Amino acid sequence: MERKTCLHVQGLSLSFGGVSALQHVDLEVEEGELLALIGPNGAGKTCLLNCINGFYRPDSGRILYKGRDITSLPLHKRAGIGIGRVFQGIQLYSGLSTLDNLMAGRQRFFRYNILSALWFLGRAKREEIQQRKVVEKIIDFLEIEYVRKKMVGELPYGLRKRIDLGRALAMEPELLLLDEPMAGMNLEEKEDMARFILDVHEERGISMVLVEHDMGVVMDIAQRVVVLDFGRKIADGTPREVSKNPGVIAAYLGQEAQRTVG
Amino acid sequence: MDKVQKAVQELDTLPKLLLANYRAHPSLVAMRKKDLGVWNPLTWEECYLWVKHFALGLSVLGFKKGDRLSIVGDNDPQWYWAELAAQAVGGAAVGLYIDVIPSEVQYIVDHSDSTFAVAKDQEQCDKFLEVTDKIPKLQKIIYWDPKGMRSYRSIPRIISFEEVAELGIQHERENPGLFEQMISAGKGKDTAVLCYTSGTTGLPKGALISHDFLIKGARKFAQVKPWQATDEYLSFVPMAWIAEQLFMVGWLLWKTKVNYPESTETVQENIREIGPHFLLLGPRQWQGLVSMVQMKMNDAGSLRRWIYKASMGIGYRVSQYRFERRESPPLLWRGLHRLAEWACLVHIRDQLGLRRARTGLTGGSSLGPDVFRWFQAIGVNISEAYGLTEVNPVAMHRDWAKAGTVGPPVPGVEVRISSEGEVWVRSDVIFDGYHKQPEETAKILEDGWIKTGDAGLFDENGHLVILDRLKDMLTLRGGERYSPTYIENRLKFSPYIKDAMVVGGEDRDFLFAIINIDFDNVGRWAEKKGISYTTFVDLSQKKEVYELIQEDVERVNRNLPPKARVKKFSLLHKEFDPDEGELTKTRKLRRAFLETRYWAMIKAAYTGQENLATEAEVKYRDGRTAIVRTEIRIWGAE
Repeated sequence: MERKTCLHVQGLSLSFGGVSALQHVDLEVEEGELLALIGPNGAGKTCLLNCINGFYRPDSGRILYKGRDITSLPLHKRAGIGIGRVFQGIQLYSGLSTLDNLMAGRQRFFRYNILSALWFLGRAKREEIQQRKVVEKIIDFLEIEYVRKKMVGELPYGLRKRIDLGRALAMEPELLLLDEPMAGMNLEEKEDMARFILDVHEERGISMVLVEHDMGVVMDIAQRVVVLDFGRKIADGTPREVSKNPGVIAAYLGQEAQRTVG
Repeated sequence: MDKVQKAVQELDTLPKLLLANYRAHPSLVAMRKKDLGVWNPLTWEECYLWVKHFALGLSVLGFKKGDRLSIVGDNDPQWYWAELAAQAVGGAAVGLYIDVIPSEVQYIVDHSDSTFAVAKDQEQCDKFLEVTDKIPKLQKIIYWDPKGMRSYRSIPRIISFEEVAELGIQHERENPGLFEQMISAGKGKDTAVLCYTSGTTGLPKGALISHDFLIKGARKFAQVKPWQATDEYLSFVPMAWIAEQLFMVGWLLWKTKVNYPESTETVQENIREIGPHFLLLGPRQWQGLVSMVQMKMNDAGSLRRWIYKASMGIGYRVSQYRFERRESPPLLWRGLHRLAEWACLVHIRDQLGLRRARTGLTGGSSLGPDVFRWFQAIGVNISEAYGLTEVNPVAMHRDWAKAGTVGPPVPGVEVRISSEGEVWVRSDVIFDGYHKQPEETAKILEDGWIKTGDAGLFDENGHLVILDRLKDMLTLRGGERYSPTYIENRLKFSPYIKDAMVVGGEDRDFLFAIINIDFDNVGRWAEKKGISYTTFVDLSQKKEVYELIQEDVERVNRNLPPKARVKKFSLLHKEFDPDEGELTKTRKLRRAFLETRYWAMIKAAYTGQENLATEAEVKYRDGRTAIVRTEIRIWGAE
């Protein structure tokens, strides 16, 4: 059965002055697919994500989201059409509680105006309760009940990463961009995170683009892997295919292997 | 209502009590469960219908009178509904602890002849599936939390709680009145529960517990500590434990409202939200509360610290009058106490969720006298209770909790001390033997007395004092008798010590202690002192930390006879871990195992070495292992 394409990146190029960060990159993400994006440092992975969710405007090429050209759509509107992101560094309001951070993620669903908010009138109250229910389901899903009312800034790193994922989920994305969600975690936290990502993918059927350095994790959970090197796509296939690709081994895994041996 | 209540008191099985409660007051709130951040009330009618439908569903699937149902999971309404359903059909429930491992699941399911299992979620179901080929008698595994169970739907043995209840609803339509018939066929002598002992030695034994045992046990308990219909209770000690089973009977007999916490991590928060009248915590948890307050006070500003110190001083003094001298304090102290209450004490109780607590209970192992005194000072009188799976309860404090004792025997229970100093108990209700192990049953019974295996004595007030397990009372080479547990408990009162094991014996002249530091508290202390560290291993071997712990060891030593003091100790580079078999499920030390495991360290301590290079195998939760190398110090104390 042919699946629909969720995201289609066509011939994307981006350069900063003389440095070309992306060169004619093509990328296709099917609906409900978990795609991993890998490559050595500076290969352009984060750049590509930044183009997709609108932080950078590409020099040439097009980005199609569900068949619609979003290349020039402003950043905030991309969240509105269902592109969510988990950042490499944590982007949470550290002075707010876990609950409030997740509620902030629901922002695009709030419809009431400032007046009813001011008096907490019928509609505002109803909506707050409705949105809170959705957020509580995410809290239950990510097993973070015990930090519901804790200030995010006080929480350990691994937990904040999990809350960051929760915040991204709160906006009910149809395409989720995960930029190194497991960076800096210990083994146990990584395994928990991988479990949550798989559960999100399975139960909510969200399409995902995962940038990750830990090859073990990528090989375990990704359905398809795309490899970037110096801004060019050098491989695209199943984890098994990619790990056997000589170009990839030379560019990425080879260095790793040499380093381990040396 | 009195007539109803009287009728309830005469019923002899738990499902009969449930039915009576449902008929008398269907719309009264029976329990609450916190879900998605909200406390959801459940009425007696809802509880009754769930039990009814689940029981009928079970019997459609083939669960018969005399069958056994294994249950494992966090404390949730479904746990108890499943138990009552099994009992309603005429079967019995087998409770498993949530941290049970697959090989134990296999043993208990097989040994108890369980034909069905109720397991909360994916994590618990996995344990059954891992040994699925070795438990052929088991027909279905029923889960009640669907999270993560999506991919399990295709496994034929797996079915959800709702689906079973759905089968029951259909069955009920075809056979109205069947459920009530099943219930009335039940008798008090029937086995209600199989309690597998946590097994400090050998394989777990399954004690057969009848409805009579549970109902009479709960009544005896209530004679000492009455329950009331307005009471709130928070259920979170393991349901597989006999004490929690008695409290659930209290729910049926006296309509105490039972509240189920949101998750194990939120218990402290949930206690505060509910403000239970009745609270059973293990000694560790009571100690944990004390350490928590003490640590928070250490971080507080100087004014607050002063208020705390002054108020606690007054609290200690007044509780001394009230509890030790048994007299009313002088007017001046009463006045000061009012002030202390207003300024501090009531707020501590409030923060801990103990503002309404009428009865604080502890059991399992003994609670340090300092913890007792601390709670008495803030105005919470903790009682220690003593009981066994085989006969429960045995002894309990009344209004006067005397630290170091477990109180006088409860009415209807006889206690005597044998010539070897062992505690023997006789009661009108005891267990019905160990399942399929008559030789073990014979070992524990003698002329109607139950030999507890505990060493004990009666003090001058007629309170029972439990010293230790009989086999654990030890002597040093010089003939000095000591109880390692007692010393360990004293050590653990320090906020910096999480666990300890005292080593000695007849061929040794002094005591040596292996101590686990409390990583959070010692870590915070180190940060304050500007001592840098990386990991637990690193922190535990800091010279400064040894000096810190030395003070605690010496404080404990001052109360010990000079010949039985802890002269040397080591701080272990890791925590004792139940997953590695170092602790039992109830977190008691597995001494023999630990002594073999840390044999090199113990030997080094007694041969006068000051350092020991150690390589320890660390087992991660996923089964992988790694080697940790470190140099462990052996430190002296006076």
